[in-house]
Amino acid sequence: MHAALAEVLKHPAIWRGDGLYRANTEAIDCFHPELAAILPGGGWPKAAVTELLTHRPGCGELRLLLPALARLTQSGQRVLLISPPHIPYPPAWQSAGVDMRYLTWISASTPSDTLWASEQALREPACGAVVSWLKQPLGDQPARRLQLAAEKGGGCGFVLREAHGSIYPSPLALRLSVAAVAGGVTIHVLKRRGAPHHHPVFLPHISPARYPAYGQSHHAVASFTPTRSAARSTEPRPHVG
Amino acid sequence: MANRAAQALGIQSGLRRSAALALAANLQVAKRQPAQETALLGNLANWAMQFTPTVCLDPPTGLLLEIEGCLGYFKGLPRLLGLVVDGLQVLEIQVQHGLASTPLAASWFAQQGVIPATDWRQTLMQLPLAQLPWPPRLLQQLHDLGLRQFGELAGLPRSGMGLRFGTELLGLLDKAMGNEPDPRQPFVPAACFERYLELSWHIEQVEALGFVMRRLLLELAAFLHGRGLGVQHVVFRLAHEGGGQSELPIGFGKLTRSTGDMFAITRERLAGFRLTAPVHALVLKAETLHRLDAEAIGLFGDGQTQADLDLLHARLSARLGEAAVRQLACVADHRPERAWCMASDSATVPAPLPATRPGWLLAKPIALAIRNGQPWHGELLTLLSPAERIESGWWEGESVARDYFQAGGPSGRRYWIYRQRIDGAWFLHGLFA
Repeated sequence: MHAALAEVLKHPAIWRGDGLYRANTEAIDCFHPELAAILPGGGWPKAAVTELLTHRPGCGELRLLLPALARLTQSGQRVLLISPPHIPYPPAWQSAGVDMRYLTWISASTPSDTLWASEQALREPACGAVVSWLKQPLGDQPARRLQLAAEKGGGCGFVLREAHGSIYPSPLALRLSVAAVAGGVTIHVLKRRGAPHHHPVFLPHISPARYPAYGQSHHAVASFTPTRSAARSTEPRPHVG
Repeated sequence: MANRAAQALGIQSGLRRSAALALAANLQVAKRQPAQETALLGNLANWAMQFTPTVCLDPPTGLLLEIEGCLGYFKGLPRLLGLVVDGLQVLEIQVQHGLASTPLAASWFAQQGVIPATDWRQTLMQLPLAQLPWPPRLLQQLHDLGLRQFGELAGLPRSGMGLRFGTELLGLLDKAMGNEPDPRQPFVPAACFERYLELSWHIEQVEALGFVMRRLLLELAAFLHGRGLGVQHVVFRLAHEGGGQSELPIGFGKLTRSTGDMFAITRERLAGFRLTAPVHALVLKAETLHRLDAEAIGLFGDGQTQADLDLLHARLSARLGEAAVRQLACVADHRPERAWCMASDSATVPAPLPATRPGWLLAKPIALAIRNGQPWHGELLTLLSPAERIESGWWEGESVARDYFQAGGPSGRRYWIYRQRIDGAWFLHGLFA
């Protein structure tokens, strides 16, 4: 390539369709190096709403988000959970590093209240992240409203929704689908700025063996013995320890 | 009385209704409400307490502020006047002000909107007699004598004037010129805020009610500002057509006196409010007032962020309900359903549990079916971890005796399930997400 052309192409406002869009995308670390490599800006984009499509609650969405949320709360930024599907269980969230003082759980009874609360929270600069769980598809207009609110507030917005196959268009810039597979979580990038990325990213489970409590410490030995007897006392059961 | 827009069209007080309507066809004529004016004046007096401790009412529409002692604090007269005028503009109240060394002269100047340029006495002497708030008969007499300015009247021999007009006029002249003391009763601020607003039309829509409430909150904010106070809780009482009443209590979540904050929360509260009948009057009442100026301000500016968050929380709970906005905390209890609580304050219990816990806890455990001798929840569950036995709570009557397992299925989802030790039944209690 001509040297002068290469110089021109360094301008942040120029976007080339065949590469990953990096210019002007401010992001927070997502703490998954494999995922960071394919996200524009190298992490969860700030001042934007990211859509995560899940099959059902509990298919790895927290595995994906918790490290980033934990870091935000540790740095004193507020994280809001709006209409989560179940109780965010404090012992688990706290052991994942989340400072519970900076976590707020908001339960909205109707879909419109969920959207309203998300918009209000996103608009607030003091909120580091707003994670909303929706039961219905996010329409074009609400999605734009949320995006505008996020641009005003500057925090990270996440919209989680259960999707079963059907992919509808959306104005949001980054859309991922999260699915549980044997041994971990796969993430498909449905849409991002820049060239499409078709290969899923695999994040392995933090398996019980990798937890310090079960893996290395003496707890594992102490707690393992009664299990065997418990399992034997009923009937043989396939057991993957 | 006419507002500025009307005055620009040539409308003055004393004009006949028909003449006024001829000058401006779209003129809105409203009846004066003396009770409302008195209440507003009282609130303005409270507001003015921020400038000086000595505020006197000058009914029906005047307010006297003794400012000589406060000039040093406010760094001079022009700045103080600017603060007063700007503050009144925020309150959306149109005023005229005047300045003099005696209360009576100041009151007269204010009615003319005169600010003496150099010497107030000189300005007083040049004041047209026709514009003084005196009985029309007296003004006519003075006019017939050929007196046009205050100075001409004050220059007449006192004895003859006393005989002709009575000693009261002499007293007024002396008080205005400062030759005789003119003590005034200082205003005593109210212990609580209560403002009644009778509407000249009936409100049927919640949105319109919002405008009126904003007006009342503006006055509340002025009241609080003048006194250095804040409120945390106010009550709107609505009087309905047909004699009914309803109440709309509003909690702000923290001490505040900002109209914007208070109205933002009120608006959310109104969004979920249904009017049972048209409203013809409303009362805003703030019974408990707290000192706000004594609040410490953060050195590094975290105060504003925290204030914004408090306001966000207050707005969310105003619309979604108090119970919808929650903080969570760990509790040192072995029973999983007791190991967490809703914490209103930020009291944290460090709970470094030795075992793994799922990110989602089900509010109520789901009983699992058994297929081929294994628990089943949409798929066959396989145990992935050794059991964690939890036996606790027998002393509280909520005894728990369970073996907890992590379990997985072919789909790759992972579950937190337990087997009840009494009957061997399986339950799903959480999801590892």
